[in-house]
Amino acid sequence: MRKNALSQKAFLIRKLILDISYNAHVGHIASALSVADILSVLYFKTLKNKDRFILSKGPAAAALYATLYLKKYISKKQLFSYCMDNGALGVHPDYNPAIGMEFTTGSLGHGLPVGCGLALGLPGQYIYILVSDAELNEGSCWEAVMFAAHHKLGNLTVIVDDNGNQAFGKTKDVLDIQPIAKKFKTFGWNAITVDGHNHKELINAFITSSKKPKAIIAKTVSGYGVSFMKGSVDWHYWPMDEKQYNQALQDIRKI
Amino acid sequence: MRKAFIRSLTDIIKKNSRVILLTGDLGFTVFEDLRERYPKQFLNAGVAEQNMISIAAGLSLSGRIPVCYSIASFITAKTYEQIKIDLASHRLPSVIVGTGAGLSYSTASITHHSLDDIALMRLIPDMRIYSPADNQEVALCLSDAIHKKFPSYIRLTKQEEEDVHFPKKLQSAFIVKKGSGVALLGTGAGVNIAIKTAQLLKDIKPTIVSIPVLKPFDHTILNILSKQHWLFATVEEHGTIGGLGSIVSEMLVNIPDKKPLVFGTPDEFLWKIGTLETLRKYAGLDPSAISKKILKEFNTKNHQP
Repeated sequence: MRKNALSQKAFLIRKLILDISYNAHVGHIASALSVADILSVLYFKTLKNKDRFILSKGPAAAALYATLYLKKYISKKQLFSYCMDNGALGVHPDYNPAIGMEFTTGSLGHGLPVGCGLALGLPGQYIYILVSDAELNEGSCWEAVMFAAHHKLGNLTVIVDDNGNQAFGKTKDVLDIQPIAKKFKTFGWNAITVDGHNHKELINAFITSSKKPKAIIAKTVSGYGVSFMKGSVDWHYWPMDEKQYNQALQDIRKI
Repeated sequence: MRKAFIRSLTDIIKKNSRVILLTGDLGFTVFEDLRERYPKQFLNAGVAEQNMISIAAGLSLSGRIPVCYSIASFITAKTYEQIKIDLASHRLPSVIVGTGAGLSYSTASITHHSLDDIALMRLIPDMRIYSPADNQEVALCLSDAIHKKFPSYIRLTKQEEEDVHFPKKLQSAFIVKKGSGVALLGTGAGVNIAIKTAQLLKDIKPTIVSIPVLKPFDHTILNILSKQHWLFATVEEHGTIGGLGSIVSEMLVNIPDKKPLVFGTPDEFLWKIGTLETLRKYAGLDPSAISKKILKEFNTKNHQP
């Protein structure tokens, strides 16, 4: 067992991401590992019954599936059908409220605007949207950022998985989005920058009350915990072979 | 048509607090009253149409019934993916209203012409498409769309259309005037064009049909008409690709010995500044041009051995 319950959950999410990705021989692993800590804090500490969560960065769906399995929304059989022929779960999340899938994502730039609509329509509830730093290239995100500030959507929180990588290069080389926190603040949001793998910092950021919409810029590392994936663009794509899988399993035990 | 739309919508909003109008910063001289009287059911989303559609999805997930309004070309083409994924794939109750469809914004040039909106919306699974011809059809279509459990698109013209009829209940298709041999099938502004065309074809006595529901298309009207008609001329202020003409042609494949004749705008950008009349003439969509082509078909058929 890990030193505390939350880090045990984060470890299990990481392990399950590796297991199901190896099982189906598919990629998108680094992107999922990047958000494992954020999801463990969100689902095992922050989210209340009526709160809503949308994983806008769809390619990290394996992390969400692993989390929903640990929350007993989906069965082991469903989880291990990830990306298998006739499987229940694909690379990107599909809308299915019965198993806790709140919205279909995969095309970037949709979750945050939909989240604004939810925040507007459900004033007593809290809405959490997880986007990637690269996703902020999409103009629709900034339409929503303007909207949320104008309508003072204090029940809306955006978590930016700021790992500095995107599909075909480093974000600073492709289309630099930094400084993200400053941009959100300029648009009228509260912005808090945290270490996206530090549970305490994440928890504190989530409980910080705000009348304005809140952006938590989570500094993360893609492929976090796996030595040969850390910060690498390649692992947006590659599946693991047996040797790599065993190495990855060993690596994540050292976190 | 905009005034008929807002009259009907105000009535609905008065009775149903779940309904909310979202506008992409349009509605000058049309929405002021509603904005004043029902501020909780009015939202100007700004000039950000993609966001407006996604906001509508979030509102619909929260139990509201959003009605999104903008110029037809902006609210269908610029927002295509938001409509497809956020609204349609989730089957969220919602209504998208495109004003100024077709060539309504004749002098505003090609950015404002909307000649592909029916085609685009048809491509989305389960999307319901309404194209009313006059004020009464606007009211019936809107009321129908509001009560559906999935998204709809309503296509309006900017200008006032002459009243065609006063039906009490919505039908997928209305026979406006009964004739035989030639059927003129119109939708939206095309219905009044068809009526004027028929006036030039008095000897032929064509049947005139208004088709306000384009998807799902009720093919029974074609089965009924096929008993006494051989020529099916469609009239719409929309491109000839993907609109009513395409729909009817696709259906007629299954009915032997029937000929479709499609009247719409050609497959080109209409780089022409002018009145609505001028642009229709330029596109070959005026009663005179249409009636000549129909007459030619008619005479060819009658002179066949």
